Amino acid sequence: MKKIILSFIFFATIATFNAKAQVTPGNYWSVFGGVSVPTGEFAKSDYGDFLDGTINNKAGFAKTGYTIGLDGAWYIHKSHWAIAATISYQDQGQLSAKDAHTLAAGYQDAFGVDTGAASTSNRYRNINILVGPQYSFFFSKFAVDLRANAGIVKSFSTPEMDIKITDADIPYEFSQLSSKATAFAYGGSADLRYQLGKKIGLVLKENFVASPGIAITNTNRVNYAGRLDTKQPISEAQTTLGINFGF
Amino acid sequence: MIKLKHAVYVLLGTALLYTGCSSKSEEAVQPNIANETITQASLKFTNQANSADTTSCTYTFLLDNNNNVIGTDSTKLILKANSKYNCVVYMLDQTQKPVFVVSNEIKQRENYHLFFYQPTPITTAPVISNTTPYIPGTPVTPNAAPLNLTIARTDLDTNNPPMQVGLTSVFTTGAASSGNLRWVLRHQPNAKNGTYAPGSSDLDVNFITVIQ
Repeated sequence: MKKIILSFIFFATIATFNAKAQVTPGNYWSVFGGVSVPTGEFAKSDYGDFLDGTINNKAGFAKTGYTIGLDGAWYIHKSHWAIAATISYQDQGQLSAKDAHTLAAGYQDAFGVDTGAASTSNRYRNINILVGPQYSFFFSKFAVDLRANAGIVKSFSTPEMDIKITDADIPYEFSQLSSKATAFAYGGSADLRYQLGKKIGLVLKENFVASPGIAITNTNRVNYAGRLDTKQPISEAQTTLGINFGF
Repeated sequence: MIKLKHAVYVLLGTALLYTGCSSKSEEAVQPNIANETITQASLKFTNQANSADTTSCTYTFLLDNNNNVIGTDSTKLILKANSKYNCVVYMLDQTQKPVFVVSNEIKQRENYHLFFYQPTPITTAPVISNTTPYIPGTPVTPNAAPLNLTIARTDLDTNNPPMQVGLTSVFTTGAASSGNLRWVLRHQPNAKNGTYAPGSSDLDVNFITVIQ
């Protein structure tokens, strides 16, 4: 985060010496990259307590990762309003050994068995495709853009969790499978654009994306006990730095 | 500009390739924790025709100072002939202070626990189904005087679809007779399907039973 801000200040300072461009309502596209931080249920990594009835089925165990993508805005008759679109790719990591241990202990307690074991594989990888209205404020070389988004999140993979509980030397196995589902997503963003030249600029953006959940398939779940996630909510707060190009 | 675009494509491709290949597996195993400890198990009966008519039977595991089982003790089950009794399970763990009511925890864990009740002797094989509490493989003794007792579980768990549990049941007696009642609690983690076979037994005891 600090590097992103310092880079932004660096480029902005250089630009003040070699550019007289002023930012005005004009279509642009940009390429960006930055950090993507999971929030809410998606970020939680607790199992809860079976006997208290507080099992957290929706804990995502997602990790802070990165996002890269393309962004664009098309202004309506040079007004301050534009139609904007974003396509971004996110990686939110995978379960750690500690997370696997949490799952193993949780299922062991929930089913009251002698031992529990969990192995996990695959990462949270998804793409967001979002469109929405944008309103821009212009201040000399700067523009501030506010945007509301709606669209889809398409998962490429989610962590697979393979559980093996054993009681009286009898093993019982079941899994939460990796998902490639698509779901509705929405969000909003605020960004600060700085005009470096007539057709080029920098953009620092804060973006929030959320989805009520992508479908999750579980196999060999015979009894309802312990964590059972059938719909994984996704929510991400992203800070990105990009270069935008006018067209 | 074109060079910049190419650089962006390379960056995107490299990132996708990296994340596609970087999956790995983590594993953890928990240490052993024993099943529920049951030191005393009781069946409490109330006559449907007279709520003041109650009885019970209790099976007790006798423990030494280190909580090792050194013996058992059981009381006789005595029921009136040609009657219907509501039966409730009551189980204790007396190694804990205060004494822990295990049957309450069984209720919380009802989705993978199932009680079985098997009167003996029997002269014909019992009906074995997902809704009968009888134990498959129980020896049939056609020439013996049977224990005239039938049992039906009355409670359901929260599985989908719900399955019986057996914490509550109805005992129906016939003519005067005597025999045994075998009482089994099956622990069937993620395997409960209404049948006896899956899982292991948390409890397996017998009561001398008299219907008079």
